[in-house]
Amino acid sequence: MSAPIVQLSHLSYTYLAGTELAATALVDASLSVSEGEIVALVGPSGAGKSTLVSFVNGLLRPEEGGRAVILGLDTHDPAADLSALRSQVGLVMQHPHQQLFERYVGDDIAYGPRQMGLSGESLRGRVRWAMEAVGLDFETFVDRRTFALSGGEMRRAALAGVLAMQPRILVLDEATAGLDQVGRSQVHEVLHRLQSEQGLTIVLVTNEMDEVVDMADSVSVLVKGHTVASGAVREVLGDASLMERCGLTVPEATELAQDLREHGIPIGQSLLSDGEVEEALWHVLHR
Amino acid sequence: MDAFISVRDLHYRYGNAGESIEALRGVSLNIVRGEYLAIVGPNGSGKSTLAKCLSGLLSPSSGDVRVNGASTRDAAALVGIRATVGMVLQNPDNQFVTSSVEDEVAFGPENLGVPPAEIRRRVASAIERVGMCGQELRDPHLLSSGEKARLAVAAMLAMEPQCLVLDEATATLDPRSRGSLLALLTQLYSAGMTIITVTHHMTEVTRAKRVVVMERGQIALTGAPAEVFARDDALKGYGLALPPAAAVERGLARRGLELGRDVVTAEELVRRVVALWEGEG
Amino acid sequence: MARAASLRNASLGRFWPGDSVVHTLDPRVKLCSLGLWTVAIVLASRWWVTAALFLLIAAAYRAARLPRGAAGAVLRPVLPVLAVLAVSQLLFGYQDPAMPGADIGVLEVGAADVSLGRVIGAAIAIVRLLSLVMLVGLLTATTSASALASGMERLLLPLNRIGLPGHELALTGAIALRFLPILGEELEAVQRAQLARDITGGPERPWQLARNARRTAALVVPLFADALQRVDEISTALLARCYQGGRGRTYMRELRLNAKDLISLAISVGLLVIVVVL
Repeated sequence: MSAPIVQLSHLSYTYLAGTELAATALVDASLSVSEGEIVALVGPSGAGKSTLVSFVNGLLRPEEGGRAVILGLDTHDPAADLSALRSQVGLVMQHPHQQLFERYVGDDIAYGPRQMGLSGESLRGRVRWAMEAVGLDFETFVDRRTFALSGGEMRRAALAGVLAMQPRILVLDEATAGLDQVGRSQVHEVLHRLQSEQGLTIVLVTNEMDEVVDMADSVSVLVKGHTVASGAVREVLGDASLMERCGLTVPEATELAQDLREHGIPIGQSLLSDGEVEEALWHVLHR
Repeated sequence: MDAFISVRDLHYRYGNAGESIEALRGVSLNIVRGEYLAIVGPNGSGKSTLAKCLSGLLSPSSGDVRVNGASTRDAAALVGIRATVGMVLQNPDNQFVTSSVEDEVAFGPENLGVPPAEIRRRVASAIERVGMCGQELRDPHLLSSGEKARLAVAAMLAMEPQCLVLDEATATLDPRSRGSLLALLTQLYSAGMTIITVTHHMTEVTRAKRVVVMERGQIALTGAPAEVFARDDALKGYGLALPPAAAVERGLARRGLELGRDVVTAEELVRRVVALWEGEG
Repeated sequence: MARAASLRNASLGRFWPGDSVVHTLDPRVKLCSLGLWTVAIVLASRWWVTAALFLLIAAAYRAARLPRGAAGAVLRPVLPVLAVLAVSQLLFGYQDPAMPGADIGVLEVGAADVSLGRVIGAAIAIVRLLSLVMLVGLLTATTSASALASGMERLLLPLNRIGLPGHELALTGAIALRFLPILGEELEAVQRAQLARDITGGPERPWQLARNARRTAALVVPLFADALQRVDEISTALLARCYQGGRGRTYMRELRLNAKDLISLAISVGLLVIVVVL
């Protein structure tokens, strides 16, 4: 794997610092992402996950002591060109209506690329590409009213609006929370395809451990503004006592495997998915 | 036993005559007192609409919903029905109207005209049942998401309902908070409360005694979790997955190792695997 | 983003729980006093009466034992308004010939001749506005939304007799106050999402009217869509909680006027009388 293209180290951040309403969001948080990798960021609610990813696209700049280097750009440097960074780092949020504002779907998706200077046929082509990438048929949806879309369609439109800028890094801030199984696996499929075809790097903020298993190459755990663990998904999520200490739970399949082991079934540790538990059981039970 | 909630040929249409969407298209269902029912289905299948009809928040376009014999079409009975079948909505932020935990819990009984001393008793008891003692004066908006969910339940409990309906109340919670909310529901269920929960989460469904699968405004499947999850092909068509234990069992069955298609919970799977393992050993 | 973050904690309307005298006063008394003091501030014609009223309000803040900076947080959002008021009063304010210093020139700006009298006049206008804002801030800081709602409803009760929805009005006000910080959070999220797509970046420049209008629209549209959705959900939630207006409603806290309340009310009435007589 290549050198990290996102390197956040020892970041701290306090909202409204110096006022009576000051709220500490980050104390000592780090995150390292290699090119083409999918990294999951997990942690109990209020851990500071959204604040941490705000450093990835330069919405926040590091204060004393911390360092944030994204795509080779040190955002602490006051001369750093953050607008160039924003065009290369896409952010998708949990509530799609927070990022849709144009009246028609096509216009909304065109907003980003238009700002980047695209126009005419190349703009149209880009919008078409982004829509098809998320599974929205161009002809059907381009002239639809944005706020008349269904919840699932709105999510895909929001994702398309970000993809249309062809970012090198995509940040998803709980972008699949509350989606049903079908909606979620559609989004996962799109992301996996973009990763393998375009080499897209993805930072995935999520509460769903099964989503981490499904999607991520590595995972970082944030608790009360501290990065307390990071590494390969199996090492981190498979470690029940670590997850317990962090106020998190292991994936459901891992819990099932643990139950089985406690009842004397000799299957391996750190099994993460239904498939792995099935495989392990098959080997034990099939003689 | 007489039905507690009975639904007969329920239709519900959103919007006006011009462009209306029929969210429910002929739903019939009986719910007895003390039941634990899970309603599942893909986004847009009408499960939230059904939940709102059950608790008297929406009136049927046609058909009938009766709670303890009273129809939700009867305007005079509506307040009683809403107090009997308490509804917890998905986003707690949009259901809090006061600025302290105890005021929030008191709001429902105050609306019902309960005498002040009785309100204070109910508020204290509801706050205790959801484990939020000592937090009476906190601002609901500043609670954690798990606490908000429990406060939303307490606010309903203070109206002393016979049934709680939860509309995707766990969808955006972190796993720990979800676990504590589910434990609370199980506790209320054991104490005799009827629980109806709308969810995407299949492991949550295995806690229920009966499952209703919605698809395009109609009931597609219904039965005990084991019966419903035995129909995995049909479920896949509705975009629903299996809970982990059932998925593992199905996988093993495909390889020729049968543990029984009725396995849905982790406990059951463990029991069968252990039996087989010790039988062999 | 910093701007939105401060809106999230919008302090006008924020309640700081406590047990001071000001906190424990009957909300009806506090609301009536707010009315009486407001009239007093507006009617006060002498500069030292205005100053005295301001000091009394400051004393009330002390008595409320609010966290440090609560008063500052209340004032911060109105600072720009104060600045505009100061300038306009200095340049175009009504000049009372009887005001001491009316004939002493301080500064000449173009055609406007700023006299010491105008400076004093501007100072009085500012202190008045400050007093009003701090008064409202004190009420919301020491009174929970539901106490306010119940106080308001009971004061508005006579309205119900002539067929107007007293409790509904009061609850609407309370909900509006409650959702101010939530809308602030929402604005922050929208801004975050859009900054991420707005690669032209850079500070807002006042002369780029078209671009700024577009930016503002881009913020307001999703916020409005969100507000509408919330309205829908809140009204459903009110139904679920069996809300039926003021009819037949009871209260967990029974409001009874005690000696402290009566004395406070008497002080407020007395204050107004003194100001009117002076």
